[in-house]
Amino acid sequence: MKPWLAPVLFPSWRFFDRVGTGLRLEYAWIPHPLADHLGAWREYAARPARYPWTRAFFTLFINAAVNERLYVYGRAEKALTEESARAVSDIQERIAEAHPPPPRRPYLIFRLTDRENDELLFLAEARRFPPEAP
Amino acid sequence: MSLDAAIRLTGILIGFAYFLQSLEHLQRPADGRFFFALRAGAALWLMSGFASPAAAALLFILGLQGLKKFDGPYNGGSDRMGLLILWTLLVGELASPVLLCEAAFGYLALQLTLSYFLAGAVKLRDPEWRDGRALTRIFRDSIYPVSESLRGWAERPALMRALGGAMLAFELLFPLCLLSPTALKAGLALAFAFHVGNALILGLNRFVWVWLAAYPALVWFQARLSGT
Repeated sequence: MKPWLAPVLFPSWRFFDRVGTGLRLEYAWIPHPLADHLGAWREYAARPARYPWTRAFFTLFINAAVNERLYVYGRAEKALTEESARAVSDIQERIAEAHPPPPRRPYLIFRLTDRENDELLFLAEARRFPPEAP
Repeated sequence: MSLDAAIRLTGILIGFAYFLQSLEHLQRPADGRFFFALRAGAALWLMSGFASPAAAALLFILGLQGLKKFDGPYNGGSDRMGLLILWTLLVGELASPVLLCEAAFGYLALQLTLSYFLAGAVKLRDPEWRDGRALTRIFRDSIYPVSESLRGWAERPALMRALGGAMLAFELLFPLCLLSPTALKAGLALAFAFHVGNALILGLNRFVWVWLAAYPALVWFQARLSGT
């Protein structure tokens, strides 16, 4: 059976069967791959302090920003648990699209930390945006 | 509800769900404007009821393409339920012996019931779910709460225990809805409210519309079982 077919025919409904590590995804734009990045970290798609109920009503129908955040964090789980290069690349591209590089800082790095104790779980290698012309 | 009515209503509701999802992706050009414009068009086509098996087939193929595009589901369980609804709808529309149509929609009704019951059963085995700690961790540490103020709910253990207990009870008792049409109406109203709450608090809006699209199958199935 094709790998994509089984979940389509026999879906799993084990929602929240385990509550794992709460991840925090942070990124930094740096001038070169080995630059000091202390203090440069920004949380990806940080949530607002409050959410007005009027806005919440409309998000019942269209909630693109939150769904995008859920997807990117899903990729982060995959990067962490399956060491997926595709997941790492997806995260980098989506960060670069949402938060474009500032002038003279073309290298993107990101890291995953444990939201509870700030332990570093994953650090991605620097990637240049846009890529250098060959 | 007759089988024909259930099939028609399912087509309208799943078309609406896919149309909304496509609008979300159209806000992000990198996701592929042509792909999601096509999917939005197919969703409206399915809602129209004109040659609906072809529209359902196109949406199903685009759904599978979406799995490839995003290297898996974009939105977890809601993508899985959406594809399940589309293929059971397609079989329901096309199958010629009525028994096969009934089997497809009966399967959808069964999976809908299991989606609540199994979600509750796996949580029941975990002591952290039984005493409210799991829900506390979700509010405090997970990516789900839509605002920082909602994270504060994690500091209210009695509220977490009550919410966790109510959720477990709802999920585990959901199959009892099949006992009578009145129980089913109450159960589906509660289920819809549960999804709306999850959308407002945790941001899971896609589940609201995709799960709603499976409800006609359960209404038909309950009537079929009770012979009404």
